[in-house]
Amino acid sequence: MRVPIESRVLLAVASALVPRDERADWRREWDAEIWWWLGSHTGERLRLAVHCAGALKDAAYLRANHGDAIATLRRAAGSPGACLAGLALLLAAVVAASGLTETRRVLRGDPFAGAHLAVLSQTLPFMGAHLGVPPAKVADWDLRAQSLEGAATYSRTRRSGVAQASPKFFTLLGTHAAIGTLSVSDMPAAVLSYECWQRKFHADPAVVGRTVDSAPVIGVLPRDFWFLDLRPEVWILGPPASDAPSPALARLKPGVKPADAQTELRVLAAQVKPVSRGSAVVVEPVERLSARPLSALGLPWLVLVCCATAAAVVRFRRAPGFAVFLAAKVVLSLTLVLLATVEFGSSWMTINSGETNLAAGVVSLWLFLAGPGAALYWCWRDQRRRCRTCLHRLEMPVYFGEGARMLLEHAGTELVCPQGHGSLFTADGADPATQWYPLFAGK
Amino acid sequence: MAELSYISATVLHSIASGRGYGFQVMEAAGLPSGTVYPALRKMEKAGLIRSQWEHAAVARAEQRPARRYYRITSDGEAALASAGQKYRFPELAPKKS
Repeated sequence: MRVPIESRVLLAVASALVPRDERADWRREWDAEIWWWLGSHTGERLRLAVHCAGALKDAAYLRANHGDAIATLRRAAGSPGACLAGLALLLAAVVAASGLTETRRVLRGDPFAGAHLAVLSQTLPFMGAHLGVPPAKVADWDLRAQSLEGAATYSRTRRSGVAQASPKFFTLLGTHAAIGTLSVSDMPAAVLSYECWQRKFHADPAVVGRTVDSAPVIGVLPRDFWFLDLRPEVWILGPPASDAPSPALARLKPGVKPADAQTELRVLAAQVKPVSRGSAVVVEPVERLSARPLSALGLPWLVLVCCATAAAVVRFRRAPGFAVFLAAKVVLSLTLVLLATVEFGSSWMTINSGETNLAAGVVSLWLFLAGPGAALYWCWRDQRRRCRTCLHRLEMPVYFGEGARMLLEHAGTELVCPQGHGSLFTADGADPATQWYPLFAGK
Repeated sequence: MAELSYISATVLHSIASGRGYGFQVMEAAGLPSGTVYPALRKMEKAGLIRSQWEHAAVARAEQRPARRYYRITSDGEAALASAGQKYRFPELAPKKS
């Protein structure tokens, strides 16, 4: 009797999984079983393939239980401690990979607090997206605006790790160089970040005067310098490379409110070409933009953690251990999402700071929106597949019945606790009910 | 004594009822192959059943491959008796061969 190709492939794959010393007997047994199967079923190719798919599970079982060390490891993998340790390891990996640089910056607060600094951008009605400002307008505001001490453009460039800014950018910020100067005499000039100076120039104090990115280095930024979402290694100070709109930085004169500056800049913007129809100038204090990550991410994180923990306690109030385990998983996984978003995303900065390159921001925003949802879904799904007594992952799923015959019979999946505490029945179809049956409640 | 899950007990009950090899157990208990064979391995390792290959000469005479037969041990019988007090075993399908 000839075995169809798909079943033969399944058997061959499964056979490769079986430990070598057991493989010959295993294959002999399965070949014999399939011979009997073909003798009693005719023309049921799909059912034979399903039958052979069981060989994969059989082989996986043999592989997992081959030798005591592997068996112990496999049993340990389903334990609640392993689950929490896995999450803690992931957290440690995020911390190690990022060094918590962004988190520390956020917690340290805004280095420009009280400096009357503002980001200038343009927004479109109904869309709310922040767009850049044409450099010609920024130059005009720098000269004519009575409410500003000065204005400067800044933007990322196409080259990775390089940003472009007007010569007076750092003067407006009030930043002092760690080495050299930040005052530009000849354009263009390059300013290095502290990390770049340490890593690429080995903290060489004679770096000033060397050429980086076709511009002479004039100075190195201080160690704790940061400005919104821009983290370039090199700042090139000089006139804008093109007429493309970019965000701008302005220092307001003492006593001038952002709203007053905004009114004046809107009037001035209408007098300088190109006039952008429908868009409006927006002046946002840097302080407010820098403070957003805590309110934008920290608060939702806290609310989610509190709600999920309270829900776990209420839902499983009769099994405190079960509730505590769920709460611990929720806290760890949501913290993981929060840290990953703060460290590797820049949505809060990019969306709110007038940065024109929104691609990274949109991706980061979706990461943060989707992250907690995925984390909570995983926590709940994992919890439903755990023993109510020992919290081990349930094993050996067995499918009862057929979905097409649910009118007369019941269908669903049964899982068993590997420690023998009970079984879980999950109904198929529209009824999402699950029932837990303790096996040895009477003992 | 080993405590049996419901599935393992059903498989053991099938073997004790005279179903000698994996395919017969599947047919009798109505369980899929991916459940029956791992359960057989587990119980053999625990000493509740013992397997033995059929003599090649017998199989050759009947022009078929040799089967691997499973038989319940005394430990298995004790475990099954204990499990019988906790579970109600399903009715097994009649033997086909």
